[in-house]
Amino acid sequence: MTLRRWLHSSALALIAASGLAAATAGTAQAADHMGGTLNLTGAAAAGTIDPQINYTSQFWSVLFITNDGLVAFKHVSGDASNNIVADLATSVPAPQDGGKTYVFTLRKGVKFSNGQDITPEDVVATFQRIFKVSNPNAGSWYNVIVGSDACLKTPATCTLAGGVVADDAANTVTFHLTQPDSEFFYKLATPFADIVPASTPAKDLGTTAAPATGPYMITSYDPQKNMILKRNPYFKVWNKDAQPAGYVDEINYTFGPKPEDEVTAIENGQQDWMFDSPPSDRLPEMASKYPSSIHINPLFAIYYAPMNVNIAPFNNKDARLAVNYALNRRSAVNIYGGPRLAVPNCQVLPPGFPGYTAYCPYTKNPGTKWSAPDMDKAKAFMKASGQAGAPVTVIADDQNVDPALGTYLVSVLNSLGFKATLKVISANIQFTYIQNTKNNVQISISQWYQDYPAASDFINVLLSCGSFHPGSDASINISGFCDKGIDAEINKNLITAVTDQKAANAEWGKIDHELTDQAPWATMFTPKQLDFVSSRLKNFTFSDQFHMIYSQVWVQ
Amino acid sequence: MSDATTDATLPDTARAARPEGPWRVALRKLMRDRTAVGAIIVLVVIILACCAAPFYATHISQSDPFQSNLDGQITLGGNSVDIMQADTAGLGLGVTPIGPTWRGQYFFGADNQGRDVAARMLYGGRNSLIISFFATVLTLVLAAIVGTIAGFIGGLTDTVLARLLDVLWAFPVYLLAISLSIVFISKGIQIGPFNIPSNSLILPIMIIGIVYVPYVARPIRGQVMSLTRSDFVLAARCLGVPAPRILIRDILPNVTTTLIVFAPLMMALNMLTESALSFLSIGVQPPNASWGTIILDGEDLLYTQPMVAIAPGLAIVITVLALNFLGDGVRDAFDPRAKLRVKKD
Repeated sequence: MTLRRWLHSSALALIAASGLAAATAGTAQAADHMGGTLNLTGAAAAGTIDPQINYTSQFWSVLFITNDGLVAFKHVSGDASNNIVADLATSVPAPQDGGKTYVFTLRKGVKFSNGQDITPEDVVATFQRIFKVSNPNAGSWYNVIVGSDACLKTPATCTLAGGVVADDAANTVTFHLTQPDSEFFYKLATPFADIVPASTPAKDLGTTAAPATGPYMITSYDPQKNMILKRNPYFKVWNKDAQPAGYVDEINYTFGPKPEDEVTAIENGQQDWMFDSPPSDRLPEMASKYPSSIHINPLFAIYYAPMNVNIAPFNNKDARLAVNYALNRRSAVNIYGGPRLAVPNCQVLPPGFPGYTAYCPYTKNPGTKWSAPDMDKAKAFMKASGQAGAPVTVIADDQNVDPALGTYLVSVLNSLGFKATLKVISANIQFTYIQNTKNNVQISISQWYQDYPAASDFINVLLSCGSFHPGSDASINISGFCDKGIDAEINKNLITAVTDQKAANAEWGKIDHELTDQAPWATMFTPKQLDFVSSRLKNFTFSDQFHMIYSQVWVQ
Repeated sequence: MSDATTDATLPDTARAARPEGPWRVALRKLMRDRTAVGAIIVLVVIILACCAAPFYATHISQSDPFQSNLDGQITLGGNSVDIMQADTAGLGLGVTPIGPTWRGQYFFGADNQGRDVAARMLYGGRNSLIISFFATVLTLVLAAIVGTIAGFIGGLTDTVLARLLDVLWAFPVYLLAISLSIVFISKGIQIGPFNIPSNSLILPIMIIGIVYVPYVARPIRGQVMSLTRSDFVLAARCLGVPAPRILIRDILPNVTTTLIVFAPLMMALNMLTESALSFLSIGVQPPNASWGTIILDGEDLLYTQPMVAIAPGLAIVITVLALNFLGDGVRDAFDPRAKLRVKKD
């Protein structure tokens, strides 16, 4: 060995040793933070904890650390949190048969929290269960699986024959789709597709938790009181990107306190994090006294006022345009907490989302950015609509800023000449109430947060003909908007996205602008997420998908 | 022969010795009660102020108290000031409405919609007073009818009506009012061709008016039963006076004083109930206002602009106290034992 080679080898050894030392130190440092109880709080629980049924951001954050699918969104902060990684599958499979077949190989040795091994049968049963329990998106997300038609017609006897096929010998599960789906992995990475044992009853589990696969399991849940999560004794890290180990030993999620009390409890160190948005009157105090406890992150979401395009007065496009031109989005932003916490928005897609290109026709000096309401145009459209004096009821829920936004919208409508009133109803029922056409809701206050990072999650889900189900509580196209021409473009672009995501995103941008011009909504703003945490909570990790990752923060 | 003719034929000394009527005595006694007079003055001031709400909004506040004004500005000390003020310290989070200016515009500051709280208080006070007054009238009328019929007719009619009152009485009054409000506020009331919309003031008037009926009807029933057995009613019956005439000439005048004593106390109670229902969003519906809804608006501003909740709260306290003092005064004025005390004075 020459001196030069020796020096080189020594240097490499030194680097490796220091790297190892750093890694060891890092592990030791991480180990120092293990333990303790993380105290979370929310004004109310979010209903069932059945992963195949619950469709709330509040409990998806919980299911994110208790259960796993074949693939997962990466458990990290930042843009990388939108990336898909293998979870219960050994790898993310390459599409076969032109994007209509996917073969997943299951990891061996992964167990449920009841000690059972995860088998291909469990995967098949899980996807059957999606239909059997009438998953909210069974007909819109999982209807591409072969056999889903029969399952949608008669859920109780769902087999998905030929659609999801288990091979015990090879430890694989094969999915056959009726057509390529560019968002299939995203749909598999949401809690709807979390794998549960085949023996799980085909009915809503309610307050009983399905056996967990993640680092934590729900040991008790009382929607009126609290939820307790403890470590899953059978959990071992198989892919830290998909499901890393948790720091705290226990998580106690308390339900009931009002947001005012939640803020006070966090300031006093009695709670570590609150689900609800802090009341606006506490923001200045929080910002001045506890700046290091505040974390602000962008959200892919919108606050909007869907207008029912099928009943008066908003079956008149001019009336809808009048509302859009009259809406002072700066005022709406101020109600939400000011420009640091929200950005005015005129269109369907939120800024920064795939397919988004800035567009705002409903402003003085139309272009890419909203600047001010244009009351002259608003009044001209109102006059053209002939709807002056029409009675309008705005439906808002009773939580957070929604009543204030509803009051503001009433004011805007009255300034245009409508006879508007506000009806505030419980947040527990408002979201389904405004979807059902039987309730004849004319206009309401609503929000939409991304399920996964694809433009279709806003455009196709919220404004396609397929999402409009008259007379149903599950008609997420609240406006009842159905334009056959735009719908054809949407369907065409869903196919394009399978092979050319870039072209598809450009097309989504175009469709977004067309929809904005049709004005089925009055989009108000895109909010940001403000997390207020206790002084002892560290290593704050924020996923674009599921927000604060409870398993990655530590409290000691 | 009319009373006037009788008076004219009486000598002056006899006219002077003639005892005053019970109403005049009661009024005289009421006017001697300084607390009651003070309460009347306070109530008159409040009522006049509330009646002047449109004038105040147009000429003093110069704003529409039902329209959001989140982007507006006012001039204070020569400077233009935002009504909704963005926090510029620290992280710059939150937007706070302007506080009390103690001047014409935004005297009590703005609420979270940038509306003038003082102007809204006057409009809200008007609604609170209207609801509590008419609910009181409804309670007293219904209670008088039910109580008088039950007490006068007796028998099966009394049993049925008394048990109905017992059933109504058995419900906690706020629980009953909240339950009725939730049912009716959601869709209003449709009775045949008549529709009462959910935002109508008639709904809280009806709900509050009905839930308090047993509180007045039961004592009225007891009083009527007692009067029915009194000597002068027995005498009238023996003389063959028809029952309706006995009811109108002998029973009702005696019951009226009880109703008058109840009136201010019930109005105070109704005002508190209305405020509670409106605070719970099941009373007066936005954009309309009442003191209860303004307190609800102020709930979200307790830390930054507490005056939004304090001002209507104080208005309720002052009005209810005045009504209670007036009620005490009226009771003393109509109380026969109090009459003795006045004579002694």
